[in-house]
Amino acid sequence: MSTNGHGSGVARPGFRTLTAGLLLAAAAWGLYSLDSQIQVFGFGASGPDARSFPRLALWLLAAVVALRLVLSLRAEDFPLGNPVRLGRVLTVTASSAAALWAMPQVGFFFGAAGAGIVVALMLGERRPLLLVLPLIVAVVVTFGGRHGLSIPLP
Amino acid sequence: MLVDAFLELLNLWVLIAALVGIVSGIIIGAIPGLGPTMAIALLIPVTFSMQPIPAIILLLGVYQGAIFGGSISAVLLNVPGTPSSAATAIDGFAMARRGEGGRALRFALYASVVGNIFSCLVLMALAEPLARFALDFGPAEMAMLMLFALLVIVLFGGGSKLDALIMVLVGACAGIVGLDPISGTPRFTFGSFAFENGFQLIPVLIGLFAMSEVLLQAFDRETLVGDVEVPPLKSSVVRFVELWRMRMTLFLSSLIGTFVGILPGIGSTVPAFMSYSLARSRSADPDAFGRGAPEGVAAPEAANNAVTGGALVPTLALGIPGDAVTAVILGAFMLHGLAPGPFLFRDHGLEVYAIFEALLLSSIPTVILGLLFFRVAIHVTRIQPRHLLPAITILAIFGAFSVNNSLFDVWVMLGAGVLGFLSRRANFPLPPLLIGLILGAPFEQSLRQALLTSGGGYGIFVGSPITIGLVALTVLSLAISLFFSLRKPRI
Amino acid sequence: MRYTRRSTLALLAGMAITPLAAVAQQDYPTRPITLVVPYGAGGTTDISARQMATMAEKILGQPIVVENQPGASGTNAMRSVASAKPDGYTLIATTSSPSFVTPALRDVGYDTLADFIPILNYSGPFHGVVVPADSPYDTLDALIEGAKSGAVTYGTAGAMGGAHLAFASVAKDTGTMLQHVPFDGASKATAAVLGGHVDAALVPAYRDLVQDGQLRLLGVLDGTSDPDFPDAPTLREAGLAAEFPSIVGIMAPEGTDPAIIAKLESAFTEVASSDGFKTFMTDLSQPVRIMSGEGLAATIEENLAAYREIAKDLGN
Repeated sequence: MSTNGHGSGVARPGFRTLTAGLLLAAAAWGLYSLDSQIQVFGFGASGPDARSFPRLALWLLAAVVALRLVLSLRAEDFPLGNPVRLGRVLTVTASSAAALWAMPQVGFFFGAAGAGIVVALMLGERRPLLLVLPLIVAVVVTFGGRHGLSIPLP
Repeated sequence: MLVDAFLELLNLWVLIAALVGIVSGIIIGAIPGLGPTMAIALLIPVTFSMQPIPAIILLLGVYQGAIFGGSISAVLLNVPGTPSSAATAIDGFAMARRGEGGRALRFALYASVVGNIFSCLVLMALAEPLARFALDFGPAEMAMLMLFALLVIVLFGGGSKLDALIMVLVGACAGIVGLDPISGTPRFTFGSFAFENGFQLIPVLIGLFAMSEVLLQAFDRETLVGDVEVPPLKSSVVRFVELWRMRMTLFLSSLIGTFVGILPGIGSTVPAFMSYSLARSRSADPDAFGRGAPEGVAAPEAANNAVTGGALVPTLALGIPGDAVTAVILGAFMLHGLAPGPFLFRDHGLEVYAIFEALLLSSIPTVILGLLFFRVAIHVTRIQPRHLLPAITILAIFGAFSVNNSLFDVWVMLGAGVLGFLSRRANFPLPPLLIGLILGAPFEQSLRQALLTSGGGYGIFVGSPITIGLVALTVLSLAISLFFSLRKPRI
Repeated sequence: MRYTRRSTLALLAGMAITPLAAVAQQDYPTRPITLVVPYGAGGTTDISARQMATMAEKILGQPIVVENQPGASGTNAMRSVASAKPDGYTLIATTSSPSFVTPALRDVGYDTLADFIPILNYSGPFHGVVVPADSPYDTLDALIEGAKSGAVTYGTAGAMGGAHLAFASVAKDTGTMLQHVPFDGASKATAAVLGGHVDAALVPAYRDLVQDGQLRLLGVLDGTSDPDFPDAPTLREAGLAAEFPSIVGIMAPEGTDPAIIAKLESAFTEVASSDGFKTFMTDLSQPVRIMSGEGLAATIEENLAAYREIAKDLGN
């Protein structure tokens, strides 16, 4: 948990650098596209307009993230670890995204059950019988949601 | 009024709602990673078709149950079910390793009841006067109050202040997406209508906490192989004398919890740690703390339960939620036709007092069910993550969808899940992000409203006793924080 | 191109299911009807729509489920209902803003006139120009006069709402400094005028506060004056060329069977003209204003044009 382990030169980049880098990129992109993403119609009003606060907040964010990156250059980071572990995270994310993508076509039940089964496999479920669990949960949620709570699930 | 409200409660449905709420709260709360916020967010759709009083009572029961449930897994497994029970885990787990898990849980249960009763009494006494006072809060006062709340979460949220500042700003920047509150023009909507609603709180919340848990567990699978060991649970009694001996600790912790709860934007984690430190510094034997001191369990539990009543004061009277949990409760109130704000007590006084009394009285079933359930609930903590998390994934998709019946919100949930995973892995704190998202947009709106009313003059921010007081508090907090960080350069 | 193909498909599909539909409309409704409310739960539109639904389901014999789809000033809900299946099972209880104010300002993804069939109008809260009881302004004239010498601030329920646009056009016509301050909903704007944070507010649901002596009503934005306060003039009576007529009506997606529309219109009209509904609305301090589907369509058409003019004026 310690992030202040100074001493051993520049540490290998890990999760902190990755996250901070992504945030910095997002803030920079936000600043770059600010004028095209926010239209301003003045009613002749003075003072801050629709762009002022986003500009301020994004600049502040970019500044503090940059400061964080500079300060943690020499600090130990949380290593990204074995690519297989990150691969599992990406698989879960990608399969959930695919499930969402397909949901308008295949419906809530198949999408959610599919995502649930991928999660179970990624967490090391090996007994095929227990893969029925996500199916049962998906059935319960689909039926409960549609009929019990009258939610128009896709 | 109080009697009429009480009569409203003499209804079978109210009792059933309270019991169902507390039971599901304890079970959900005991599951590591599922806190009260998630429990409430998942159960809100269940209350759609209910009457307002039973619906809100069910949700508040879930909340109380989930806080207690969170302390079960904190004490027995050293896995806090909620961030606020992290402080409880320190001494609670130490007691459990000695086989005193039952005693630790009883201390936690009784202390939480004390905290809850204390804060409910404050809520009943203070909420209505504060609601009248709320009319004095114009845009300038609101802006300064929110600035103070944002500052407090950065300065006193614990952990690195720079990290907290980053996360607050991330939340505030995410809050920009949608329609501009003043001119109504789209901002960062990419020309899409779906984005005009902005990022809704509940999908973000489910993503940040539940979905990110799924991703974290997928990442950490190696460490989970094999069953997690549950220590043996010896039953042992807590005598009243033992509680009486720690009455000052309980009182001070409840006081801290209630009043920190009233200040919006701080949540229950901070007061839990504050009262833990206070109990340790007041103790005759500070070294016992961390090795299984009962007071180390009781102090944070009293504080984090007292936050509920405190946080409901600004939530109901001003419409400003104190933390993520009250933000969800706020949504639930509005859903049931009880719009928080200055007119809540005028228009719905009966319902509101009935709910307060129910919150007070629900301590009784919480104790009974808590004692009955902690043995059963332990088995929930024994469910292996690989069986549990697929179900959580499905529930997360469902929960995000059901808020506005829109798939866009589910995408937001997934995005928030990835962001939550990266942030938790990188040890960036999530509560400031939520507070930034909750308070960012209203802060901007109040700021610009104030400038519109003043014709662009910044003098309005120091133009009334309230704003001057808030500015003074803000400066004072900065000074205190600076003083302590100079005195203790590194912790 | 895409739309053409889609509408052709829809036409074909429509032809294929026509015999079924003919059977269906006779015993309509056979399953629960969804009534979408474009605002969050707890607002006056929501509460009145829920009451309408509760009373109408007794007549129609099927439950009416109220579904809140808040956000984007109601345009999200309008868009989703516009594209819903026109089978009479998805209706919307809508108001002025998403019907003719916002569509006049920007592309919202639907055309109120072409995509909806108005069924009836049943309410429409009067929007009043209110000032605090201790305000120096006694009349609308005094308020406008005051805005000539210095900025007068007024709060409304939100940016680019009908009330805002009506007053913006007044400010333009009279050359006065009326400064708009948008709030998050009418109750926050009301709270702000009560606390004296703005000079005036253009809000509905002012009756109790005015009768209680906390606020003073200077005028109403509607075309006719509020029966509870016959002395308060409309903007036109006060010599100002603007109005914001308020509607709360039920509409169905275009293409819904006329027989179903007729059935719904008669059921909802029966409810709206009942004494029980009137009492309920009075408790909510909302008026009951019944207008037929055609009348509602005409009002929307007229105001859509008027607001397009205002928006064009303000844009320059």
